Formats: sequence, C-alpha cells, structure tokens
Amino acid sequence: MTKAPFVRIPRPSELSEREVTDESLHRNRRDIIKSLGLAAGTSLLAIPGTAANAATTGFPTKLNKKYIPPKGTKLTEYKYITGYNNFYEFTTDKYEVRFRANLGWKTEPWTIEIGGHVEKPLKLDVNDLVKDVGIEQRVYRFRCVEAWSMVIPWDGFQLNKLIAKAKPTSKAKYVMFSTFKDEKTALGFKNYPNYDWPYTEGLRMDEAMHDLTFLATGIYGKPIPHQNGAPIRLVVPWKYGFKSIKSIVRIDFTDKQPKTLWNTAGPDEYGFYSNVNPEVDHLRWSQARERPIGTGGFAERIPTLKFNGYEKEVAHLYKGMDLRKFF
Amino acid sequence: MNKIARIVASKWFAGPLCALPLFFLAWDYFQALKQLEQEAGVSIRQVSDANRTSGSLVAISEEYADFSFSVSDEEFHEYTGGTFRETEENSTEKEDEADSFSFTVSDDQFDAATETLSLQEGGDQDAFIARKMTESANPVKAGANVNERFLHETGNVAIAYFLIVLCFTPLKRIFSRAKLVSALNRHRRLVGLTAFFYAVLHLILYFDDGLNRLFDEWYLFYIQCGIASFVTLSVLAMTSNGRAVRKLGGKRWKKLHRILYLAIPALLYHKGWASKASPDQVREALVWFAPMLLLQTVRLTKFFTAKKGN
Repeated sequence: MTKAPFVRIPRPSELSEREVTDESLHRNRRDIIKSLGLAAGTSLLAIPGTAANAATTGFPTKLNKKYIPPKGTKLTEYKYITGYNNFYEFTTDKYEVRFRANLGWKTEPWTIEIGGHVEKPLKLDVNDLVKDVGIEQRVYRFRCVEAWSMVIPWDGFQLNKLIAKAKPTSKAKYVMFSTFKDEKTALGFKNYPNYDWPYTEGLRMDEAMHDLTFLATGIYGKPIPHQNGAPIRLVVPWKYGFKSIKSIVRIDFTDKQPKTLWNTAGPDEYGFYSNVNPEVDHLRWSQARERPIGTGGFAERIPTLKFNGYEKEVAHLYKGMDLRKFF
Repeated sequence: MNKIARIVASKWFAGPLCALPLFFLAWDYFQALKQLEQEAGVSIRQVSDANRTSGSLVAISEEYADFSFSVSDEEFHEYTGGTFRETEENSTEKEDEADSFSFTVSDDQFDAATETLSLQEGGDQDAFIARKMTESANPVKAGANVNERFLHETGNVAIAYFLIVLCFTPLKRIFSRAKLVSALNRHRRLVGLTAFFYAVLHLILYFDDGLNRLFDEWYLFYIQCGIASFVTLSVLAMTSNGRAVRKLGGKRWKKLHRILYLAIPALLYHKGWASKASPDQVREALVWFAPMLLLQTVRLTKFFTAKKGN
C-alpha cells in the first residue's frame, strides 16, 4: 500500500456542476435571508414553499472516511430516502409521510431534555448543540425490520459526545429516547390508538457509547427533512431501523431496560436488542434477505448481513449472549 | 334496463373489464422503469473513474477499515488482544482536511423534499393528501420498492375479482328477476378465471428472486394461506371448462367448486396480516371482505325458510 490517503476522494472541482451547490449562493444564504427582513431562526416556517427544518447549522459537512461501506455500494437516492418513510405518528402509508409531515410542523427551535440518572438535568437547544460539537458525514447502511434497506449519507455526530455532556451517573445502565406527541401536528396518535404513544426507544449503555451510534441532523449534506425525523434523530446502523428513533425530545438515563413502543406492541416480534440477524427470523417473515430500495424493478433481494455488516465493530458487545433469546 | 342487460350479457362485455387492470399495471410498470432508468450508469458493481468524477451515488472505499474500536483505548486493546499496531496507513488521525468532501444534493432537491404545503385551517387533510399523492408522489412511488408494490397491486386485483365473483350468486338470489343480474352471471367463469390470472401474475412476482423467497418464508402462516388459496384457485381454474363439468358430472363438479369458500378466510388473513400488518392494512382487508361476506349471509336464508320461493 502506498502512502496515498486511505481512499481516493474526488476533489470538489471534479464533481459535476449539477451536484454541487453554487458556493457563493450557499455561503450567502444567511445574508439573503437576513436581507428579506427575517432574523435567523424565526418563522420561514409558515410560508408555503420554503424549507422549514431545524438544525441548519453545521453545513456543509465533511465525509468521515472511516464510516463508509465497501467499494461499489450504491447510495440510495435522495428522493427515496425522503419519500419512502415509516413514521406512524403521521400515517402508515410510506409514500404519504413526506406530505403529512410538511403541513406546517415546526421543528425549530427544538430542545432536547436530558434527565434520569445524570448529575444535573439539562435542556439543550439543538442548534447550539450542533454548533458546539460539530457535525460530519457518514454513510451507513440502514436495514428496516420489514426487509428493505437503504444506504444513507447521514450528517451528524456521535451520541457519546452528547452523553459526555450529560454526565450520567454510575447508576445509568440504559439510555431511553422519547419523541414528540402532539395531536395537532400528527393524526397518528388518534388514528392508531392501539400504540403506546409517544414513541420510545432504548439502548444499553455500551451500545449508546459505541462510536457507530450516531445522532443525525442532516442527510446528503442538507438539514434533515421532517419525514426523516427532523431536527435530530438516532441512527444505530447495526439494528433494525425502528430502533433509530426520530425527532428526539427527551433522553433519559435509566437503570432498568426502558420500554419501547414496538416491543410493547409486539413482544414476540420486536425485541429490545433487534440486532440485524439473518439467522433469527421475525415471527411473521424471514430476515434472511432484504430488498435495496430504488435499485431496480425486479432486482434480486440481497442476503442480509449479520449486524447489517457491522459485525467486526459490534459483535463483541454481545459476546456470549443468546441472540435468539435476546432478539 | 333491458338494453343495459343485453350489453352486459354479450360475450364481449366481461373481457375488456377483466383486462383493464392489466393496462394500469403495465402503465405503472413503465413509470417505474422510467424512474429507475434515471439511475442508469450507476450500477452496484461498477466503480469506474467515470462514476467518481460525475459525483455519482457510489460510495468509494477501498475496503473496510480492518479494525475499529469503541470508546476507550483500553477497551480497544482488550478486544484486539494487543495484536493491533497502528501504521501510517490505518492511522486513526484525521485525514488531510483539504482532501475531503461530502455527498450532497442540490438546493432544488432539498426544497422539493421539504416544501411546506399549505392546507387551510380546518381543511380536510385526507382529501388534500390524496390529491397530492396523485399529483406528485408518482416518481417516488413508482421506483421505491417496485416488486413489493406490484406484488401488492396484483394481489389486490386478484382478490378484487375473487370477491366480485363470489357476489354473483347471492345477488342472483336477491334480485332473482333482474335481467341485469342474470346477465352478469353469464360471466362467472371468466371473472373467476381472471382472479386466477392475476394470482398467477402475483406468484410470478413472488418468484422474482428465484425460489429464495419461498425457501425463506414457506413456514409462515400468511404465506401458507396464500399457497392454499392459490392451489384452490388452480384446481377451480383447471376444472372450469365444459369438459370438466361433463367428466365429473354436474353434482360432483358443483361440490368440487365449493372449495372456493375455504379460500375466503385464507385470503382474508393473507391480505390483512401479510408482512407488517399495520392497523391500516388490517382495516383495509376487513373493509374489502365485509360487503361480500354480508351478501353471503343470503345463503343462510336457506336454513330459515321451509320452502324457498323462486
């Protein structure tokens, strides 16, 4: 191996014009907005046709070359990432979410409350948080429990950076996340009363502290759209997608395993750990193969990888654990 | 009314109606191909210099980093048993900042994905969304998960015709003197076979991955319901012609064709509880089957009336 950099990344000048935002336009965005008489952070939101997403700081991001999939892996197109979503708070129709989530929902400003077994409960503004820790881009594989998958370039930061700020005590064994519950914004709370709203998820402390565990505030170098969980969401790439909770409002450090919406809804079907595992089938369908979204009309499904391909990175967390029992 | 009944009774009436969904499905398929064609030149297996310089959607990496580590150095050394040695190539230091970039989309694409829609205060959200879906959702819906979508749609069409054909007899009993109803009944065989035809399409799509999907899923209950229903429909299709009626004799043939009723609960479960079985999915299946089931209760009147009139 030569002394060349680890991977060959094309310089910005090599990217085609189409793909690259005109830099002067991009840099002057804030000035343009200011000149319209609107201060940064206030309501562009109610104006139809304008983007309304929080966590607009931190862009453009740099790709962290340590976190990219193997050579030749195709990234999922933006239109599919933002147009094919499971977000039952709005609707169970995957193609409708992008409309239902953009009817005026405000995700800026947004605060995350941190509590439970921490030295001191905190309230953090998402934009301030991002300005503080800085964000980078990582390309992760995403595997839904429904046996479809995507490859997504997330922009964000490691969860353990936020955990360091939160300063959990030694009693903290798990991290619990909660999302919003606002009946005025989303119809799902009323239409699907059988779910134990609000949506909650949890991780074991060592899973939460792992470098792979990511809090995303952007996709493809732009602020994360509502339908993908604006303004900030979790990404745990070696677990099924429903663990990657969207639109986080609360983070609690607990000593007991937290309840999660899907585990409550189907204790035989959706486990707490939910590590991607082709050997352990879901109760009602097989997990041996998955269908990459947007890759072809009648393309073959591809074999699912153990831990979604992150086995080298995370298998040690589950050493000696029966992955069938703790599914 | 007579004129309409005559049109319905003509042998050319049912054919086009049964073939109609096929045209919609074909049109849908070409839309899907159009969406997916836009990604031509960026295939899973190719990573050429051409792809790289076009800012394509192919992630570039030589290989996985052949190591990784969790939070602390101590944990890392414990995991690698102290055998890892940091070299220049796999150094954990940040790469030269100047040589970096990120995958990004244009402002237009971003705006399209995040556009705030204007719905009036108190407006009907469902109707608004339904309109939006037909206007602009097609690009995504066309290409996102093509096989699943067509599996779903062919299945729906097959079940629709299945439900329709099951309604013929009850309707005949209720409106025994309406010419229109008896005209419809002339097409029972064709409508039934159409259900089978779309079920075959459904099956072909299921096997797009070869036998893999069946091998993975054969033991699942909703799959077995589907298999059983398909076997039932095949038997009925194969014995649907006049020769079968003659060979079996009318009474035996009638008894054989009663197995269709077994397919009703099987298909209800297959449609409602397939895959994720979201509340909307279950609800939809029940709503679909309810009218036909309601009509079937007409048959029960046989038990309650001593002598059935006409």
